[in-house]
Parts: sequence; structure tokens; C-alpha cells
Amino acid sequence: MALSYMKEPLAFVSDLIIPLVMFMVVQLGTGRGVESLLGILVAISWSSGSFALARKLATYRVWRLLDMFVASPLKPIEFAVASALAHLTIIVAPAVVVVAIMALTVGVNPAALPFVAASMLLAWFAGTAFGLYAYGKLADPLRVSSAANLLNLLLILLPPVIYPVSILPRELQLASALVPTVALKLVAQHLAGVPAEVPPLLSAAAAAAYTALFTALALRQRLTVE
Amino acid sequence: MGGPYILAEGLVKIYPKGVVALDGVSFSIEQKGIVGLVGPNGAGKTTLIKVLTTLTRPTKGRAEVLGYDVVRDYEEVRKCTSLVPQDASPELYLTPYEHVYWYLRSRGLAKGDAAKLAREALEKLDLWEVRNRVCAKLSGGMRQRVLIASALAVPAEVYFLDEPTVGLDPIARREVWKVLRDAAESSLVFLTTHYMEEAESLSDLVVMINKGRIVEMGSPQDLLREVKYRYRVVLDKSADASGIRARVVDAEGGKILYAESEGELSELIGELVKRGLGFTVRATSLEDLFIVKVSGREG
Repeated sequence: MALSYMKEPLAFVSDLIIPLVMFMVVQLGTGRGVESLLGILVAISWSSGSFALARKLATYRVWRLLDMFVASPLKPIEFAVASALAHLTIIVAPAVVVVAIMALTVGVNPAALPFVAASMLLAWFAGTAFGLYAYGKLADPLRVSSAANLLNLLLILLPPVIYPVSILPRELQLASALVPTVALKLVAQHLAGVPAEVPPLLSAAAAAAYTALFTALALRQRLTVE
Repeated sequence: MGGPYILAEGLVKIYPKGVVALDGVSFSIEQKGIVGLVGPNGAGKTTLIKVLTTLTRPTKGRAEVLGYDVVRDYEEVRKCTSLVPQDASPELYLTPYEHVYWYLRSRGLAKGDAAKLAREALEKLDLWEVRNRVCAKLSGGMRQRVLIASALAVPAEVYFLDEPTVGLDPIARREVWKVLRDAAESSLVFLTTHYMEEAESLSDLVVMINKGRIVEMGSPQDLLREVKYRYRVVLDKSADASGIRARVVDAEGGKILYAESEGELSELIGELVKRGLGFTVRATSLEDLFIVKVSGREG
């Protein structure tokens, strides 16, 4: 259900404040704030599909609410897809804010927006597949939250998703494209026409490979307890 | 498909690590109405509900709901049943109306039907006044009623409710009973409960389960006839009942002494008064059969 921001507006501020502070630091320090904003768009798309979805499913499992849905004509895969689509709608509001900041600060090419939206969809799809896989692997639903926090750190905050790849030493720049979220961010950069240090083919290949891998893994998971 | 509402034949469920939750459960329920499944904690009540609602597979044996095998025809079973799980919580961001409507829509009901059924269910469970307040701001009892409303709003043939009235105050509990009775006019309501009073006054059929086995089954009236004793006398746990000529059962609240007749009761009371022991007396109920058959340890 895409209601969390409507019913708890403070969550909107707390979700965006750290990425936007990072953007300001990057913009003031390197002048490459556009990369940071594209990274934020990819990060919120990935997170809504992965961590947020896994957390929601785990919460429903702890609350036993998931049992009501599993024991109904709704197929578990339908429930998962519907939940994932609901999470996609959640990111519309923060994405509009980020694009508005982009337009006001670093400028935005309107022709690039559909490509940015497409790369967000790709990040959401890959994130959703990853989230379903991660949820299915955690037998104890109470661990999902701590696992999500750790993965958020490893996949969003530490690698160059919200800060530019160029900050890394040259030898690490190519390697960073092997991190799924960085690969997706570099794809967004290429599609938006923002120069990147990593060849487009490498980042596109990495993003495609991860998306295919996560999708295959997700399809092997079951939502049911047993 | 035809067949009884519920049929269980030799159901065995062994969880990993060898925990035996069901140990050869067999019974058949042929008629609509309310079936109360009672038993102590860990008796296998929830596991039985999980098997019948297709949430878990039996290790051995088989079960059918409305003639559909719960393993082979699980999709058919899910279409004609509705469940309130034990200790469940509604989605706290949603209002009661949104919750019931969401559940009905997710089960494939059309918008108009879902809206109508949601309203009816919320009105029946006295939630209509708070329909626009998010569940996070409702009391625990109201949240429980939101779940019951969601499940009972579904036009199902069998409703499974796992301890649906836990946490409800006595008035709310009786409101839920009324709704369950209404539902049982046209469907089977299969519920688990810890409250013997609830099982006795609400159920058309009571099934007692202990250690994964059915120990008694019948209408409350039939089961009451099996209670040999007419009176129960409850003493403090610390009271010394040694030497008293009566059936004595150690229960959680204290020692329970049983008397078969008024004469026996008079003798018993005389003995207790002579010893200076405090006690209370009342007529026996289904709870006493439950205590003796299921949880009682004779002292």
C-alpha cells in the first residue's frame, strides 16, 4: 500500500534528508551534483523495491497478516507484484522533488527525463527482484530489518551511488561498476547524457546481468512460511 | 465438489526438530454451524487450522474442505474459505474501511460488491463510526475486530478463526459472537478458543484436542452429560485436601474437588468447614470435562 507518505509525512523528510545533504556536499565540493541527484533517483527506486518491500513482507509475516492473503485465492506472486507496484507509486513524490531540485540547481534536459524514468524503472525492477530474493532467504523475519539496514549501507551509502564515481581512485572506478546499484546509476547517467568514467557497455552489461540474476533468484522464492 | 464441510483422516504434522503437533487427528464435520476447537497451549489447534487453510502441509494423513483436498486442491480450498490468524494485526497505516475493502478487492471482488460488503461487516462489528481512523490509532480490541470484519466480509463457505476473541472485552466478545452466529446461518464457522464459556455457549459442536489428538467431540449438551460430577468446589492452592473423600484435581487457580450429588456436596462442605478452609461452589460445566480430560492432573 502506497500510503506511508500520505499518512506519515515526516517519513518523506527523513527518507530524503540524508541523500540531499550528500548532494549538497558533492555539488559544493566537485560541482557534479547532477550525478548525485541521478544517484538519488536510482537509490530510492532500488530501495523501494528491495529493502522497503522486504521489510513490508516481513512485517506482514510477523503480524500474520500474510497468512490471510496466502490462505486466499490471491496467489503469493500476485500479492508480491501488487505490493511491489504499490511501492513503485511511493517513489513518485520524492522523485518529483529530486527532479525539481535538479532543474533548479544543475539544470535538466527535458528530453532526458524519459530516459531517467526508464532507468528508475529498471532500478526498481532489479531492486524488487533482489528484495523478494533477500526476503525469501531470511527464515527469521525479525532479521529482515537489520539485514536491510546493512545492505542499504553496503549497496547505497558506501559505493559511489550518491557521490560521483570520479571521487574513487582510477583503479577502483571500473571495479565499482560491479556493484549492482552503481551499475544501475551509471546506466542512468549514460541515458541522461551525463559523462561517466566507466564505459557504457560495462555498466549496461553489469546492470543487465544483475537484473537477470536477481529475477531468476526471486522466481525461486516462495512467500509462504513453509 | 460435494462432501462434508471438513474431513480429517489420520492427520499427522511433525515440524522440523521432531515436534509432533498433530498425532493422528480424524474427524468429520457434516453440517454448517459453529465448531469450537478447544485445547491447552501447544495442543495442536493452530497447526490444525494451518493444515485446513492450506498454510502448511500434513506430514501424513489427509484433509478435505468441502470435498477439496487441502494439498492437491489447495487453490479451490482457498477460494471457499476465509481466515483470521492467531495474534494477527491489521495494516496499521490503513483505516478499518480501507483494510476490509483492500482485503475484499485482493480476493477478486468487484469494487461495488467490496464497498457494500465492507460497510456491512464494519457495521456488524461496530466499527463504522471509526471507519476513517487509521488502525494504528485504534485499541487492540478494535484492531482485532478489523481483522474479523475483513475475514467475515468475504462470502465464504467456511470461516476459520484462530482465537478470534482474545484481547476483546466481554461486551465486544459478545458482539463478535453475534456476528459469528449470523455467519453460521449459512456457513461453517470453525474457531479455536481458550475460553470454555465461549465454546460452551457459542458452539454447536465442540472438539477437544490435547497433545495433537482429539480427546472429545460432541455438542455441548452431549459433552455436559459426560460430566459425571454435578458440583465443583474450588479451594486455595495451598489448602490441604489430604484425606478428603472426593475427586481432587490440581488446576492453575487452586485445587478442585468434585461432588456427584447434593448429599456428597453436603458432606464435603461439612468437612471443609470443620477444617476451616475457604472455598467456592458452583455447578460443573464443560470446563470441568476439559480439566479432567485435557489438562487436569488428579491429586
